[in-house]
Amino acid sequence: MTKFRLYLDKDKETAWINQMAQDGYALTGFFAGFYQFEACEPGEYIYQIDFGSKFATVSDDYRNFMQENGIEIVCLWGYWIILRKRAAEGDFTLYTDVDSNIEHYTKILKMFKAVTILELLSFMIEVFAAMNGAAIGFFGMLFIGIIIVAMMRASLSTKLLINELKDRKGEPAAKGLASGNVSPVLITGLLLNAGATALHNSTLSPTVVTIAQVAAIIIMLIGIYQSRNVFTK
Amino acid sequence: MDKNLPLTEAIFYILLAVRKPNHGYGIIQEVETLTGGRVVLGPGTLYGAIQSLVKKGWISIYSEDTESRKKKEYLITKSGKAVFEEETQRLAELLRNAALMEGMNHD
Repeated sequence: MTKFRLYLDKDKETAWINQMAQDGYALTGFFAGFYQFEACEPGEYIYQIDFGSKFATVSDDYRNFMQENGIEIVCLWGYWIILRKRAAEGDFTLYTDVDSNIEHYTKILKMFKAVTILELLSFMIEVFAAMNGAAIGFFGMLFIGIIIVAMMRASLSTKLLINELKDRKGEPAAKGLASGNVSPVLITGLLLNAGATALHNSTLSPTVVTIAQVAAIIIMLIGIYQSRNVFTK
Repeated sequence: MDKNLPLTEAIFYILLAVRKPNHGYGIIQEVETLTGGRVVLGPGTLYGAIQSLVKKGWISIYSEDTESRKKKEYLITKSGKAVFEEETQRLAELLRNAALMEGMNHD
């Protein structure tokens, strides 16, 4: 059985996979949002998701270590490692103290931040390409825009989680982080930019189109400035 | 003050568990026994801790026999022992001072 889901929250993803295992479906593979399941005894396995330090590979050391602890590596996806253990062999929690949880989520946050920056850069490259008559089109821009907003939301919620953990330890939390919401100005700026690139093929005068695009860029930059706490420490 | 201290509970117990050669699963079991089940190290926590302790030179790989599928064992190093000793002194100081509280209870 294959199911399609998009998760950016690994804790919610883990909860769902474990619920499936409870219902008698054991995850056996993952590719680009497609989860493959096989029938199992209800509750046979407990699943956990780790975040490795190498892309799409794990060291022999890691593999052996997990094996030694009765843990099987189900599949790899980017830096993500999906693991499972037979429930009969006892409880399975990967990170059991505040310090290692902070370390774990900080690694995840770094990845989300890096992807946000890369997507923002590629969005801007597309904007300039469109101004030079080489547009990927409205939907292409919209698609990158959605990834940017999703990655920012994931960064912010991970950051809030790390703050909570630090608070439990009595450590100072990151400042200026009130909510996990992405600046509405940025979302507006991204939409306007996507819209403005579509105007380059229209019958409007090039001056009007350029003014619209520049205005959209300015709104987007204000939005990026408002969202700066995504990128700070 | 030494920036390595205080040690986290996990690091403290891992160092203790490798005073003699010990492997991953053995460390988890020993720590669980020593603390009466209070501290159960998750494999992610232990793996990360071992990596960082080896990097710091506080523990080292004692044996690695890939042929017979023998598990990798770790052993505390001299500098690991020194840090552990420092931490023990710090904890002893806490306990000595904690004794002051006992005198207050009778008043």
